[in-house]
Amino acid sequence: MKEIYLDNAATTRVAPQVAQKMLDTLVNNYGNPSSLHRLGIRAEQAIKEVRQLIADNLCCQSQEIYFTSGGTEGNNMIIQGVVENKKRNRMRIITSAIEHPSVLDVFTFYQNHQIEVIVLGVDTQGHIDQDQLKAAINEDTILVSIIGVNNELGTIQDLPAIGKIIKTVNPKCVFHVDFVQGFMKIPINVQTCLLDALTLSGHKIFGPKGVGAVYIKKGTDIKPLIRGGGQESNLRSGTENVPGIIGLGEAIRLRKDAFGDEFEAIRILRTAFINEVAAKIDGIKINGDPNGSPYVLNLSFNRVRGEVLLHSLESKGIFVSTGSACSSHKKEKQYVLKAIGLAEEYKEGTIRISFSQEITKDDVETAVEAIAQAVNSLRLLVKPRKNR
Amino acid sequence: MEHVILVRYGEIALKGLNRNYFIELLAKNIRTTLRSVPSAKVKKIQGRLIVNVSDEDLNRAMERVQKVFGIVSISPAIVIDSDITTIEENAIEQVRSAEDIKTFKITAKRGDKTFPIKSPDLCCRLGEVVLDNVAGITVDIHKPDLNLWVEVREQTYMYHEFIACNGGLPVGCSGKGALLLSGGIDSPVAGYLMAKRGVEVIGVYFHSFPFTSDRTKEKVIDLAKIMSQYCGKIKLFVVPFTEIQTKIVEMCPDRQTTIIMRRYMMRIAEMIANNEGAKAMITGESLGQVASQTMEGLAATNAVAGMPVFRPLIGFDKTEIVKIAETIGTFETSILPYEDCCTIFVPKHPETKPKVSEMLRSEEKIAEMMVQMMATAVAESEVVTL
Repeated sequence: MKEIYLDNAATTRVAPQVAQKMLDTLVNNYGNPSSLHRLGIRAEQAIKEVRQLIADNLCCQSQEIYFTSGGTEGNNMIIQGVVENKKRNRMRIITSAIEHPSVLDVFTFYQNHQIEVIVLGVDTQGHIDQDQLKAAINEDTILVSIIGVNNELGTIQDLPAIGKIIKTVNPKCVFHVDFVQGFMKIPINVQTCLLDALTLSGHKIFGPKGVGAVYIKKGTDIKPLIRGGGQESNLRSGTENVPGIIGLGEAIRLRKDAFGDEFEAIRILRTAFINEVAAKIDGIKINGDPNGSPYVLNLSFNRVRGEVLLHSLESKGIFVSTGSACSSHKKEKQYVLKAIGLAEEYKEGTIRISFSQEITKDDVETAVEAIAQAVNSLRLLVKPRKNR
Repeated sequence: MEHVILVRYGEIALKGLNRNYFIELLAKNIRTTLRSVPSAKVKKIQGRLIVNVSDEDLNRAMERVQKVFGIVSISPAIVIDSDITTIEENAIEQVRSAEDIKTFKITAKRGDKTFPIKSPDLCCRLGEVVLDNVAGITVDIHKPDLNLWVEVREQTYMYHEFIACNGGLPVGCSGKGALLLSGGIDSPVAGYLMAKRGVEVIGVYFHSFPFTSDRTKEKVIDLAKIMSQYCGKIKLFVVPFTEIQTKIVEMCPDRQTTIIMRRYMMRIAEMIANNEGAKAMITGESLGQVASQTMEGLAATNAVAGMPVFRPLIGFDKTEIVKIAETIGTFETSILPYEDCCTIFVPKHPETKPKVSEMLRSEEKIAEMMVQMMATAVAESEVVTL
């Protein structure tokens, strides 16, 4: 049975070239970048190249890139780093209702610690309410953190517009974007978006797990979360994950054409998927913004439980998600769907399809056929049975 | 000087002519739990079991032995020659090395009547030498900080710690029972309590993929693994239940699906129990806890069972069950949130007062095909031994 992996927003399969590069690094370029001898210098040079590569793709300087263990650490590092650095009496921090748990949970934590937290609502497609944002920013606002590409819906925020609103009202306010689902999939320019900080991760782009990076604009004061040997300009101590960083670098290089041909190909794939589903199954809803990230497709079916559908697809070798894999451990599972006001009858029956360039048109047909079969047979079991 | 664990068995000692059988079984169960502690050796002495174990394995071995049913208490002890000078030296050393004590007491027992000093005299004599040789310490025979026990037998055992265990009977002495294991909080506790009365537990879990995920199955396996620390080896049957469940939901009235499903679970569990030579079934049901556990509900499920169904939790409140689950260590695993998708089958208004006659009428339509489906489910069960 061919596996059709449609959960690329959760994680991706490491590209063979990336794995090869990492293996080579593990056994050959094994020095500690902080070591004074030439093995150390060689390792340092290797990660320096990746730093530059990331900077080039974000349109910033390489000194503004810091390596982390991934998205969750990056988000924590920025949010906690900004808040802990200020320590004023009156502080306000702003985020949106559809953030990843690694942002939302940190905000909730601070809310319980006497910091004013404002959570912006979103429209039915998942765009944040810019008027509400404008009204919310004041002199005490030290941070706005917004998810650039939503992990469950794929909705892309208008970052230049948001940046402009923030900086017009309070130029000192730090603007952070969680760009884990967008990096190397959607082009970004931190200058035009007026960003002060950005988080990215390796394993969403066919790189390894356990590595990521943050961009922090020069002059932005951040208190380090992890102290120690002073690596990463004292902002993130700990021996650099050299093989991970090299793997991330290779993954970025492999995606140099992603913004052109691949983006278009995935967009066509997503459209085909939607059309097929709509033709074969009734009682469906496509969530999010049609012009959002083509890599993510959020679908709801009435009278079906998403989790059951997921398992039934799994038995046919098709792997999807019921939302964010990271929040499937949580009690409050569907806060994103709640925020966009999805009707109750559809909420339970929601799955997320996330594409990669490995998916073909045939895969889409197979997957949709399987979904149609599963949905139809599951619906038989929960049909209203008034006459019995 | 050797380190041993003294094992005291309570109820077993009363078992008359069968006593030896019980003790052998207990020794065997202790040996099984100590498989992974190679230095441990179990032997019988009068009225006790002794586990010889190397110094560094002592804590690990005690942790395991404590969980074996049929044991009232254990004591880590030293074993020395039954020679008065050696006994005196060690008594002094034991009291001296004890931390934070101001008062002590000696409790000496002469089991070996060839030993020249009588128990009360030995108490006094040892008390005196300890007083003479350990500074800053006095005797308190009522509430001593340290009560040093000295048992003189062929060899002499010295100890001062009593660790209470779970009591009960050695697993296996009361036959075999098939436990319906769901993955929730209750059923592992029910299995634990029956194992405590000497029942060898086999597990039966009904797997309804895709309605319950493979994670739930993993969770049930994990639960059985935790239970096996107390219950000994557990043979777990994973019964493929999807088709039967689907058929019931399809063909039977909404309100009755839960009870009918439970009746079929019971039937299948009994088939497995019979195959395995089990003489009873065990469930985690507690009266009135949920709609299917009303007296009428229990009666309706019970009606399909030919063998006795043990429900050790029948009179327990949820809080009491949770407490036991926490103590035995299954709670944390039980509450992992995987099985919730199964709720698609929970009817909006479940029957709380089902009648057996009505159930039978509803089952008529499927009874015939179920014969084959149940046989297939039993035959295709996956067996995991933990």
